[in-house]
Amino acid sequence: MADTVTFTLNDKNVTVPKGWTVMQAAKQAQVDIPHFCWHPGLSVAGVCRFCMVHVQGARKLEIACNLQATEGMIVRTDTPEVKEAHKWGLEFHLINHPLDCPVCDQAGECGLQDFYMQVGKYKSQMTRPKVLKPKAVDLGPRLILDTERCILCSRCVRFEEEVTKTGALGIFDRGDRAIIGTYGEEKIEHNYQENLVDVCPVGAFTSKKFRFKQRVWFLQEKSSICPGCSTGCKIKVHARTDRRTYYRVKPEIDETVNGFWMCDKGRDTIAHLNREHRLPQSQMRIDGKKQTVPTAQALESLRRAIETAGAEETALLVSAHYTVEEYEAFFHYFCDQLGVTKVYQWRAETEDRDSFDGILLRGDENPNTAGLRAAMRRVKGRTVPIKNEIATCVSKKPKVVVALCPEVPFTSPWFQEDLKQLAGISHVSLWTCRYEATEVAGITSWIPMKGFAEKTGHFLNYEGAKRELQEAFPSATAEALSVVEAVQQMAAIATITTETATL
Amino acid sequence: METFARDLREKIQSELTRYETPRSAILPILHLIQDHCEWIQPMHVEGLEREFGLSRVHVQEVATFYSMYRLEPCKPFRILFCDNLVCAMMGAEGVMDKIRSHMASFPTDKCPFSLQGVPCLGVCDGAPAMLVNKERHLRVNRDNVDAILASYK
Ligand code: SF4
Ligand code: SF4
Ligand code: FES
Ligand code: FES
Repeated sequence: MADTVTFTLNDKNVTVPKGWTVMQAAKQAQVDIPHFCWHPGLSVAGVCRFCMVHVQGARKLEIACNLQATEGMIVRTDTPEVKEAHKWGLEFHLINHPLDCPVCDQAGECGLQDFYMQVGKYKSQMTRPKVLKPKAVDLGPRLILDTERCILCSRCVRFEEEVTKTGALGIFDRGDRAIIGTYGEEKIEHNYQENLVDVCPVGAFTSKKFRFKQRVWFLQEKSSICPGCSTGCKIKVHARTDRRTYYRVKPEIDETVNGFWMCDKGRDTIAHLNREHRLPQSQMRIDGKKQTVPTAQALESLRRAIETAGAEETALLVSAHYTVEEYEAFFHYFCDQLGVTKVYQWRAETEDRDSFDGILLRGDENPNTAGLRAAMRRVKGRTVPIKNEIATCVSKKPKVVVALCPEVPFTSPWFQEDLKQLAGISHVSLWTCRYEATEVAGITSWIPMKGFAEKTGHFLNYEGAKRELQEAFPSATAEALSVVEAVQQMAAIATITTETATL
Repeated sequence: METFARDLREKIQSELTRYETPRSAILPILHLIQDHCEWIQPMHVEGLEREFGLSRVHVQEVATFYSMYRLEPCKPFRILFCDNLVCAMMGAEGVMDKIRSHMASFPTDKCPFSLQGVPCLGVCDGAPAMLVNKERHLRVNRDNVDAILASYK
């Protein structure tokens, strides 16, 4: 009992741990308190004065973000005084705001717009011209800052001080000339730049990559897991399904792994999912010429090749970019049913696997090293050391190789060089999401795979935590399969052919 | 190479230990630098980061916030003339006009003075009041101001 407090929020009884602020309590109780400067992942600044609430018995309105909830406190968020405070709060924030919503990327997800629609809607009393400030300032490889749109909430400054601890941003000058910026011409270069775009409640910080690309209300969002490294940050992928185009990635709150953030590298993990980078359909090299074929034909030819060569002459080369469910299906079919025993990991030859940047990013650039390891332990009956085994695979001179290719191109730049090593093998079937860099002599067939955002399932991250790919977009190329689906197809074809054979 | 002369270094060092956090010492340190070096240059701000571990962003925030820090080269004699209520009643505006014409009597770029109106200097009983650098002058009027200024060479 002593560890919690109960108070009244808009006639509702709310019980929260002692020490929580009214803002935190309201979030939990799903009571909306309009706010700009408070962010759950940063310290309290109390500078925007927008989160005003009425506390019974208090002389004046209080700011909810810096007000500790106490036993029996009676708080309201909807009194006339609070409404009046919102009106004036907005009026001040908008005095010098350029109102360039029509060309602002933030439009549609902007704190100023949202709160104006929610609690503002009044006529401005300003008659004086607005103070003009620098627009489109280049602040880093991924950042543009519009200082006119800034409402000086200081979230970005606190992010730089508290999260990346780089402290590159400050508020310079004073009053209506006050301006966010870096010292001199300095640029922000760290790997967490786009979080500044996310924390900025208005369109002051925008992302160079996303700038002017898309209106946010046309985007659909799906929960997924970043495939960029073994941390496995929880993310939301934003795409237009009507155009089958992926536009951006944002972090999703996950207290246990990534908190409120993700790294910039992770934001780039969708580029390869778009159609222009995808293997559109299954292909086979027939009489030395590459041809588009039905997937069933490519899978059937693989099945026959295995049948002819025998399971002992077949090898599986597996990268750690697939889900636990996919490994299960893959090994169940090839190892348990067909009897393949040659299973090899496929990953970077040299990697700094255990490195960690102190924030989120890890040196292991595979999202499911732990999952693959566990699956291999099952089929091999022993634990294998984590390393690239393509050379071992080739040295065993298998006649057939099924390769689950690494999905994210920029974390596997070694991919094409490695592929060349498979040149002498008579049947090589590449199961791949990407198209680029797969055209190498000696490959027999190419099967299009779904990307991480197009399937459900889970990865095991660096510490073995389950990371759920919760929702799936329809694939950008209609023919793409998950490994589970591909294996099912193969098994189905096999049954049909054996049945026809016995007829 | 060290940015600050030895005696200034020592003063900065002692300011840094006076407060709970070094960041709190930025205000007095900037005053010290300004007193020693006339104006606060980028190399000073950067020197504070390099040699004393203060964040140059924090230093620049403070330096740009307060109008009494000089971030540009300045004239040798800086007149701060009170233009608040009591001094205004005692004729401050007229005296400032007189100062402006005194300044205009120098060839362009040769004037050793700058003039800035400032709020109450806290010596209203001696209105109109002004500071020239750190020297205080009380009861400045149209008749004596030329002589006062002439003493600054
Ligand atoms: S740039 Fe954005 S986050 Fe930073 S102070 Fe301005 S409004 Fe706030
Ligand atoms: S830290 Fe790793 S998992 Fe998280 S966003 Fe970056 S690359 Fe992705
Ligand atoms: S959110 Fe409370 S003052 Fe800004
Ligand atoms: S009003 Fe001038 S010194 Fe007080």
